Amino acid sequence: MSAAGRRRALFITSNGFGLGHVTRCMAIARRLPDDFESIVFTLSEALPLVRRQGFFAEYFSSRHPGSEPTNQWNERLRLRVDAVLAEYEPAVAVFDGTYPYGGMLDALDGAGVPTVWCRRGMWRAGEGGFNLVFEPAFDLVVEPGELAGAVDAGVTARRSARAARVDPILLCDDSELLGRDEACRGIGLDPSAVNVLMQPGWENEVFGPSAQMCLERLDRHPDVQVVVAVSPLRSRAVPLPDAVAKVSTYPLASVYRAFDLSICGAGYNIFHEAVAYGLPALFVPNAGTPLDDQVARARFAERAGIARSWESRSASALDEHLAALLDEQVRAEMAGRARATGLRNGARAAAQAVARVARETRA
Amino acid sequence: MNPVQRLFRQALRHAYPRVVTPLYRLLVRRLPPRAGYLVWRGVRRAVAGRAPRPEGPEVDVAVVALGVGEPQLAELLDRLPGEHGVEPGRVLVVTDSDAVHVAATRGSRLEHVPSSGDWRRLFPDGDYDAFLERRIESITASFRVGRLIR
Repeated sequence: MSAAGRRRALFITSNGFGLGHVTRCMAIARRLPDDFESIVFTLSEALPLVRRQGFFAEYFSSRHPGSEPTNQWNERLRLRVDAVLAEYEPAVAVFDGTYPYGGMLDALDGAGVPTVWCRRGMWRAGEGGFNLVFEPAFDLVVEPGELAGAVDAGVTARRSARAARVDPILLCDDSELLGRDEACRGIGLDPSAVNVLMQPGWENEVFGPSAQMCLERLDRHPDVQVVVAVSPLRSRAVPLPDAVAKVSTYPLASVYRAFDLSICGAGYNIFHEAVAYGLPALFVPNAGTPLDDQVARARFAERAGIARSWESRSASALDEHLAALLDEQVRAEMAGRARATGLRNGARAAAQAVARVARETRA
Repeated sequence: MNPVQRLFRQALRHAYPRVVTPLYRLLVRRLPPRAGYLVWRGVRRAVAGRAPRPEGPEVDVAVVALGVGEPQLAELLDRLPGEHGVEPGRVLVVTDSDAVHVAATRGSRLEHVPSSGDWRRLFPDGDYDAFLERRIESITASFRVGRLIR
């Protein structure tokens, strides 16, 4: 507990492909009651971003590939988490990731700190079954909701009854998004144009042929302005062509109203932000993530008429999608259907669940 | 160790990740959730109790670099391997800079410590220097450091 009498919540985030884990933790942390202060212990290179959001943060590097055995890295992690627990004496520890690290569990085991696993679903069918062995290590499992939950074929779908489900977790509430004019001004866009946001990364570290194809197609429309998002993960940032306008705002959702269309992967955050904020999207699902079933999310959204999905990466399919999405009427209908899903932000409910665990376990 | 024992140990080492671990995981997965976790934890504790804790990775040189910005950190990590005649992966920098990607892109190791400014906001009456010493000691103890430069 701090000198000011505030409980400390320790958020431990894994190092995923994008910013999903660390963003969810920040979404929960900023909505904890006032008698809590949050510490973020992250394996993500998004450390600067976490600090800029006002959190006290520490970083621990992921396993050095090829040169560090897993047990050696886990032992270092155990020692570090031991030190963090001793230093900060948290009232609760929240882990967001799909695989609770052995070294982390070793440190938490017997430390007397109540623990929460923030575990999003939509795992690829047949994958990650062993990860669920660690569920009893936690006092509570919080499952951030999935709009596409009805088509969740992953192993966590069978365990939902054991988890505290909340609505999809978003960093920003709708009220935090800038208006169109202000958002456009900040990025240097003409609010009267058709503004397209590209968030490449669906091909992991490359600005590949499919992204290039999108740029070339959009370039044929003089009324369209394209802006490409720069990833805050510097070592994984996709090298971008020089002659494109770029945006590196975080949280990017805060300027979503500047845009009429998003072309992006179908990761948890991007997917739910597009739907929640009514931004029509062409999802380009990344089928190369270890666990995240982006393909299922994107297909769900397309069937529901709230987005389009470009799985094939073919030119003809892209032409067909863009012909539809550059039609204002089509976009308006799509945005309407997205808003009609009634998707709400579950971050506050998740924060309340975390606070409850902390209070019920400690006096 | 006689040749038969040596062969057996080699066979076990070969079989462990390919057969033993997958089989173990398959069996544990099929147990009821609580039982599976207890078996996993029991095996882990038994192994930890019988075998020595793994030693940390070897690094030839570890440098404590506090108060440096990204350009200085990059320059340091570019310079150190050549200066000491070692591979980038054998260099460790302990820093309060949050430009942690700099090490990843160079294949070097980086351990982060909170800056004094950040730490004092959390512990306004605390002793940052004492915390720093504890943390640096803990970090260097988790590696096998050839030479520590502060």
